[in-house]
Amino acid sequence: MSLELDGRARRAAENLKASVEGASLLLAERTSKARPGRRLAAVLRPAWVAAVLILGSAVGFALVVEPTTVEPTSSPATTVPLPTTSMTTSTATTAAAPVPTTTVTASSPAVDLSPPFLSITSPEDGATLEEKTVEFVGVTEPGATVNAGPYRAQVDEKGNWRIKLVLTPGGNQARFVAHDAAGNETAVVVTVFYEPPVTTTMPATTTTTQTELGEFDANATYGSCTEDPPFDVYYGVGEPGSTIYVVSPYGSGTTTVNGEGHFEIQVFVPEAPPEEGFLVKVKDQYGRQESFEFVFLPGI
Amino acid sequence: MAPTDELVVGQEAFETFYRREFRGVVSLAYALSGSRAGAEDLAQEAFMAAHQRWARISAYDKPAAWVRRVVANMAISAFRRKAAEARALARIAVHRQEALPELEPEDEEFWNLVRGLPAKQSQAIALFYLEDRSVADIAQILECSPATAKVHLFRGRQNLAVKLNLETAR
Repeated sequence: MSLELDGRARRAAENLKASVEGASLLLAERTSKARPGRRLAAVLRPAWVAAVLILGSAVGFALVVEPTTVEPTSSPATTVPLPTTSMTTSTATTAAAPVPTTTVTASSPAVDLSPPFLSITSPEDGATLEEKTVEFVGVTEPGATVNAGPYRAQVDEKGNWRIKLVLTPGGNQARFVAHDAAGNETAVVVTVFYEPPVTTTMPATTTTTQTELGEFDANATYGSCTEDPPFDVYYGVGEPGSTIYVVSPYGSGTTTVNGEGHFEIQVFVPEAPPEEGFLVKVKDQYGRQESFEFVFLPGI
Repeated sequence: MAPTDELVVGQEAFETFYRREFRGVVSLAYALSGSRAGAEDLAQEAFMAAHQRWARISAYDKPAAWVRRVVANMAISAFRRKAAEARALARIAVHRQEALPELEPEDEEFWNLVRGLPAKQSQAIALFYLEDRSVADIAQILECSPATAKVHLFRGRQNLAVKLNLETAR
């Protein structure tokens, strides 16, 4: 890599950090005289009010502003937009401490611009499952709906949701979409691998037991590919005559370990998205496996 | 009602976290948004979100990664950036608080070029140079695999080198 670039970048980074030092201290100091929750609310409240004013006028809200001092017990709630990320939820901020501020009364309802929170608690992303039907479980914003394609998940009043989906062998990518009442949307994608239990057809020496199995070792040749369609070659050693499965979300293959205990298989992943790494599992029929990351780098 | 011990512990932990991470998060917001006025507000917004979810986020291995992910996403969102800027300008008008100081032209040019990169590349570059983050850390913050983070970083540096008329990155 270019040393000149590194030098220029490091200088720019140091100067930017230095410029932030003094200014951020001011803001940090302003938050140091109350409990953290109150501090943030106190610091942010005037800013939020201003934001509601400015953004409101920008999107056509009619706002009535009456300058006043708010007493602790009568602080009005201010609905504010929060960060647009897959991990945030809509919320309302109420100043809990006496703060000189401005009361804002909106003549039209506040607009909820925050996407609903959506998480998947089970199964884990990348999990390998042996059941054809799997129940996906997660949490979303209470009142939101969750769909997987055309299928609607059951969502309880606390936002806990669940839905059973049928898997196909290999990689399965499930996309869950949550919608809140305001129409905001959050999508989360999870990939699970369905590997049906192998009906073990033991190699010729059917008396072989798990402890007598030969060594299993798998390797990926490249880990990445610039050619289209992309591929990798997996090789290793295993029990002679046993079956080797190579499984990924974008391509799979099987081969058999030869009489000398070696295997080699070229697996194409034609649908692999450019520059997005994913896991490829190489597994033998006895359940022993190795995982490798693969990334398609077209044009590099 | 008096807070429970558990709440006090949580709040103190948040304060420590806030003080330790705030400047780094403001730097990241400034680098990625280019807004002298709005960077602090973006950072505050991210910390506000963290505070509201602190019971959950504090249990994460790296709560700092969560805040950086939020601020990195907000900073490259034009809507969020403009909203934060509007808030900050309004606050400056009321409190006469100054925005972050202006950068030297050469540094300003550099960060402008970083912001001109595709979003993930600019985020990876900012995390790499501003915070000396490892590829693994960048991957965690950007919610992608290390290989993907490496690609973003590689592409970003390559594009930057070309834009700066430097020796092409290899």
